[in-house]
Amino acid sequence: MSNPKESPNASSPLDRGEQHDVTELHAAVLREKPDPVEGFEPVNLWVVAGIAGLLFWGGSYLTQYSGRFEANEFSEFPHGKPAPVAAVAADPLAAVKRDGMLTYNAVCALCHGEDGAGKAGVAPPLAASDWVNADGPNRLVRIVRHGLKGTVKVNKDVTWNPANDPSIVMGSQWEAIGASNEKLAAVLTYVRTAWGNTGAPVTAQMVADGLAPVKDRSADDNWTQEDLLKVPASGSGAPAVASAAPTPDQIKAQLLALPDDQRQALLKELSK
Amino acid sequence: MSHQSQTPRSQTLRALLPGDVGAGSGGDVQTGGVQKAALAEIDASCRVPVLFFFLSGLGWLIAGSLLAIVASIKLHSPGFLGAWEWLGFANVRTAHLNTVIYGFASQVSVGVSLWLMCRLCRIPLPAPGLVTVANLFYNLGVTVGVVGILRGDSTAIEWLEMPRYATPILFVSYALIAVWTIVTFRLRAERHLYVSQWYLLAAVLWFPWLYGTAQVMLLLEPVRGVVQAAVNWWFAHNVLGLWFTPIGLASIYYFIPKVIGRPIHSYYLSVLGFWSLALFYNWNGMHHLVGGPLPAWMITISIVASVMMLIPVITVAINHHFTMLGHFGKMRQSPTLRFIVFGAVSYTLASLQGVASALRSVSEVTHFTHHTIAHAHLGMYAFFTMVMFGAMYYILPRITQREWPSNGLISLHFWGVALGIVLYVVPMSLMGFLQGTKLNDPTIRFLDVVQFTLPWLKLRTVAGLLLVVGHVAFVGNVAWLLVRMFEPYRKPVVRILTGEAETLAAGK
Amino acid sequence: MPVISFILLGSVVLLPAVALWALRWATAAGQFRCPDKAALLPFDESEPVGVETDLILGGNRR
Repeated sequence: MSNPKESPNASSPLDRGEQHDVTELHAAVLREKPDPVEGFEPVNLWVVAGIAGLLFWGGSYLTQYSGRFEANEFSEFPHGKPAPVAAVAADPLAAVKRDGMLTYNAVCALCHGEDGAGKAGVAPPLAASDWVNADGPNRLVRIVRHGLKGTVKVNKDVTWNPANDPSIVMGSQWEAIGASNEKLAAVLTYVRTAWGNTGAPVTAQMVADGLAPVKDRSADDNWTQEDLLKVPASGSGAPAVASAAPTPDQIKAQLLALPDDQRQALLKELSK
Repeated sequence: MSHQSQTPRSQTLRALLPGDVGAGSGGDVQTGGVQKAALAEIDASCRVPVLFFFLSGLGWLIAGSLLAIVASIKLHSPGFLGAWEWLGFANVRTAHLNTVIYGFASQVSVGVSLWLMCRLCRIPLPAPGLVTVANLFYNLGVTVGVVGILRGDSTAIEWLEMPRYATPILFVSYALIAVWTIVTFRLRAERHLYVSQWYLLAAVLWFPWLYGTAQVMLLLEPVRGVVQAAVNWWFAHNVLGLWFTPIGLASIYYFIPKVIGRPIHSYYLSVLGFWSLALFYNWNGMHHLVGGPLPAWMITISIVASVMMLIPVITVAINHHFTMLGHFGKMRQSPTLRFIVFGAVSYTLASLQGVASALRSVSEVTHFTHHTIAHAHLGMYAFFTMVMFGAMYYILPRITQREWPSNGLISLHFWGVALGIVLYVVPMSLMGFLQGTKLNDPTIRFLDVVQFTLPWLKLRTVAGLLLVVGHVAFVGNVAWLLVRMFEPYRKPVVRILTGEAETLAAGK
Repeated sequence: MPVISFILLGSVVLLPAVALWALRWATAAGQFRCPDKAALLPFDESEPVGVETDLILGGNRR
């Protein structure tokens, strides 16, 4: 084929390479004499072996993961999934925390934020909050169960809702999170361990114990900071001092509800 | 070669062919009563219909590219063009898919496949006017469909979004094209089939089957429950595998030998590749539903069939590689070869990526991420569209009898789209994988994952702009070529159409 | 849904039948008989094997 520089028509830009040098053209024909086996190349044995291997793999995969070809078998592991991977098993609370995180992100994060930082004018922070990191969850379970209103002081220095705006209220979230002690325990475990918080995990039993004294309280009866501070953060969750003068029967019932050792201690204290 | 006698039916059909078929060729070869036609004669018969298909396809390509850019920008700047609600993301993205698939890719495929079929059958296209009319109706159908989508009439079924009032027009005009391809085949002067013809015939028959079945089972009389998802993915994946892929491969099998002047490495392998594709591809669709509520065996069979696709892919790759061996330098001189080889390599890569992401363990990560989008563009653009560009570079000068006006625009086109698609596919595949890993990690917030994708999505817009630059360069070159076509005939063009120059000069 | 069932059963029977018919026809018509000849089909008298077409750009020639 032609070299543009040697072509007689090289002056026109349209004719680049259009001029065929006859000898060169023939040289190409001679050089490219069809190889007798071209187009007739037999299939390479390695290719055949590879295809056989693939078919074998296909058969075994089909047998193993087809759920016995049953219409109602939706899992590729009809005999049960193999043991969970070690990484998940390492943290026994991982499943609970994950469950709590999902609930938290779906319900609580709308106001408190997915990072627990709270939102100005909407909700106080949960990350690094002394309320959240308290010894026990007694106050937290009440807040979620019955809601909270009024001014709240967080970490001694932040005063939330100082004007005591009645429109800033957290209603009961009990129904929203699934109305079960287990769900509340999972959410609180997540909140108390996420974002650098240092609180201990919360069990469903702790939630049950914490809510036992207030099981008759209406969900619309929101707590205030003053009432909550009367509740010990940990322990049985009975208020140290009754908010109103209780009847003797109520005192008796409350004493009976306490574990033995606490009741003894309380009686000893009262008898002083 | 067998010399079967022609049936009376094809005798009647033969009346469609021009009376002086083969008059200009040195053809003493006569098979079945029809003389083989000269290449220039075949090209001339294809001129009007193939040009119609190419030009309208390119028009839709430009429209589809602009819609793609708008959709891409909206992904990282949601407020962009927010005042026009008909340009909302859902509309624009859907309109992009439908314009490039049904407007651009399918029409260019039909153009290429008609031309290839005539060339390999060695006859001029019978009754080209009929195909031209089919093209006009097809474009009407696509226009109605895309406008319907932008109006908000989308059916919301992936790959079948065109509203129900558009699809009958498409189906009828497509059926006309398919029937005409088969009529052309029946009239052929060359009895023996080349592998490209296997692919073309199969594609032409598979597509109406796919489209018709999906229309009936999803829109006319919808099946219920998960079967819808199964049918939907069966259709969407097979449009790629049983309509576009065969036409792309048919073109590669024709153009590589033609450009370098050397037969295909192994014809055995090409036959094996065709039949294994036919056997395995149509099971593949349901690997998109890994983890979905389908019976386990359906998904497992899909996965196995996807892995079995290694057989056609590797045989095709071996065949093309050994045919090209020692001739790679010619890619510098031939725009066709450049685009076709780029496409052939991408076909192998896209298929390997597809096989990998069909596996359950990989799909768990890459599903619902941008990885899938990168994969779709690797298959549909880096493979198929590049092959179609290559084919158009070969066909257009031959049917218009004019040379490409600008080598600079050819280079701009190639480098624009080649860089653009690499910049699109490689980062997006990687990003999709990272995105999937993050999505599967419960300790990472969803919004953080969204934030993570933003810079990559901006990179995608840049890549998309490069593609648009390439497309504009190509369309400019084609327009220039057409202008030349209507200029008075100046000078015989000997570069490609060797030996036909005198005939043409005499005709003018 | 009887319409669907007919279409499904019909295509389940028809499609493999068409594929088998195509395979049988191809074998009977000798399409698999001479692959060396089939590989030469893209070429003809005016553009035989060995003629490179479409090398239209300058490029670096050896």
